[in-house]
Amino acid sequence: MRLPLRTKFSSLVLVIILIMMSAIWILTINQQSEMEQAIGEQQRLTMQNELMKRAGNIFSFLAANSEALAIGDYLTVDAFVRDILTSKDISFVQIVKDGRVVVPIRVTGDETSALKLPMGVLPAGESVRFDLVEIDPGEPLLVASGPIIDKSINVRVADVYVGISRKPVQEAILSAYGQIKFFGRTARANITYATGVFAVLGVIASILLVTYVVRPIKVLAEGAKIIGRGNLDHQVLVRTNDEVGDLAQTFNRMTQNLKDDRAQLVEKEKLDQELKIATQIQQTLLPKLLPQVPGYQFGAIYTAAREVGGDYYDFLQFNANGHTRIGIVVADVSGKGVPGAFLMAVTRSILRANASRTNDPENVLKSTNAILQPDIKKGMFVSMFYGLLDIESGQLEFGSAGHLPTLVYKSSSNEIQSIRCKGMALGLGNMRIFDQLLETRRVVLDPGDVLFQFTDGVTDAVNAAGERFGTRRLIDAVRQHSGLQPQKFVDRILEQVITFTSGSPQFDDITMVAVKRSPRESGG
Amino acid sequence: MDFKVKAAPAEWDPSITTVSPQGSIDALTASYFEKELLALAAKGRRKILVDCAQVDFISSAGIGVLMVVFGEVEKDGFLKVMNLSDEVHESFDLLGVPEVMAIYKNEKEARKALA
Repeated sequence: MRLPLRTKFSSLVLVIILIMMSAIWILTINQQSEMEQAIGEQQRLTMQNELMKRAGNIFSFLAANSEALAIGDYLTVDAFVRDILTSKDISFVQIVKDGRVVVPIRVTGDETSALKLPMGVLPAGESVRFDLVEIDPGEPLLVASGPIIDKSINVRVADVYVGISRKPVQEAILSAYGQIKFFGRTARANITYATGVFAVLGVIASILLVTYVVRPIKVLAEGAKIIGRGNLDHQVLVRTNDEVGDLAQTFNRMTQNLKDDRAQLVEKEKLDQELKIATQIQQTLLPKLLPQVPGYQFGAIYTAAREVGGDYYDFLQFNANGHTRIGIVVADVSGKGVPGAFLMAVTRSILRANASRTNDPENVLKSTNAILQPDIKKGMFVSMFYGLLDIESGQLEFGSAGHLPTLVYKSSSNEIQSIRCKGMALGLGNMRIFDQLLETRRVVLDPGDVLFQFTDGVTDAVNAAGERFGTRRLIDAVRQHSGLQPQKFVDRILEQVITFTSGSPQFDDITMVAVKRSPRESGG
Repeated sequence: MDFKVKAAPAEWDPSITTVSPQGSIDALTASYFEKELLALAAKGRRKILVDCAQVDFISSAGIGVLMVVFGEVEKDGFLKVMNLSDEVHESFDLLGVPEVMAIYKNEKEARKALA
């Protein structure tokens, strides 16, 4: 069952107040009965003392007239007794001599009558005694009995029984009880009234308090709903300087973090998507097969860095007039991701179109730049090696558009030539500057010779100590593995680079192309 | 492998911002360097002189960054470089960059040329 906080709090306050009221009730009732007892007892004693004093007075008077009683003069005493009997509370006075009531004097018949004691009253003893008896129902009496002694002769002259009604005493006590009960009731009524007022005030106060406390929580809950619907820009406005305020601040921070995380996620997804597209473009455009030409072996390898760079290689085969030529391309496109891959695709197409039109590598590079440069985004460029290998003669003519040197292994001398052609990266400068700078070289591949072209991912590979693989290590590796079949040759060099970096991430694409003229081929 | 970039107005011409990268500008650090330079350009600091005195290595990716910013500020400013070590100069030279971008031997030469 869902109970609002307000109901819970006010119920709790109400229950506490009711418990308090009940406790006070029980306490007052206890106290009242104690009071009733104490007051009743006190009242009874006081009244009884009064009665006994009264009886004592009567005894004193009779004792003072003991001589008259001794000589049988009852008239004086009788007048006195009759006077006393006019008092409502005096039930009876009997003076008894020799077992007969002598006073009050009977008016008719016998002057005296035999003593008949009320039930429960014992005959008078040696001293004054008090008995509490009830003759008729509702007629409680205090009966004082005792001897009258003539002190001058020290003779017991008569016995006296005085019956005094205790009704006034009882009535007084009952009235006192009534008053106490009335006060108790009034007190309880007052307490109940006050408790009622406090209960109402308590409930109102708790409702107000809970409303005050709950309001910022409601704002928070409302904010959470809004944020839950996806609006991460929402800020919860709770300025209270307490736990709820702290919670609101934490909540806002959490929302901000969530927003940042989501933004990062979106960014990352975008990057991943870009990376995927770039990789797809690159994979589509890289050659699926190596050229199959008698007398030559080819090897190529491309490994993408985490963020795909723009390396690519390509082999083109031209057959004209029974003459076979192989175009070899190794390029590094500046820019990563989709822009890099896009530039690579464009460059590849322009180059392929140009290469099929002319046998002159210099012209191929120049016309490629002429087409590419005006359209290329300012600041982007492509460094490129382009060589054309004549299969029959083994002659390679090549140019470099700002690309790294070309390594040629000469098997006859076991030497490695590092050949650098002047030039400028494609896209950097206009036709005039580019064309002026570009130069081409020729080299002849003899049987056993190896042409090796790479990108800067190889030489720039860096290990944990910050050292780069560098040209020196690369030349040594080329010499060491030159005897291998070209694909194994490039694989082995890659292994060596990876061993060198020993687990450091690869930050740039690595591309290597090797062409080897078969050693056994005799028809140069 | 620490790479830092400092930027401050040139003492001799406060409209020119001297940017001093420190370390290697390679595929690893290039994107950070690019961000710093483009942020400067976005703030209106579009006359940029890159002081390579403390650059021990620059890869083609690093030069790519300089070329991108070079293209970005070309219309209303410039990007030029100075204090290149032989190795760093070699990297610029390989790509043919000196043909399109001014490279000064040192600050004195840069100051004279830019005055």
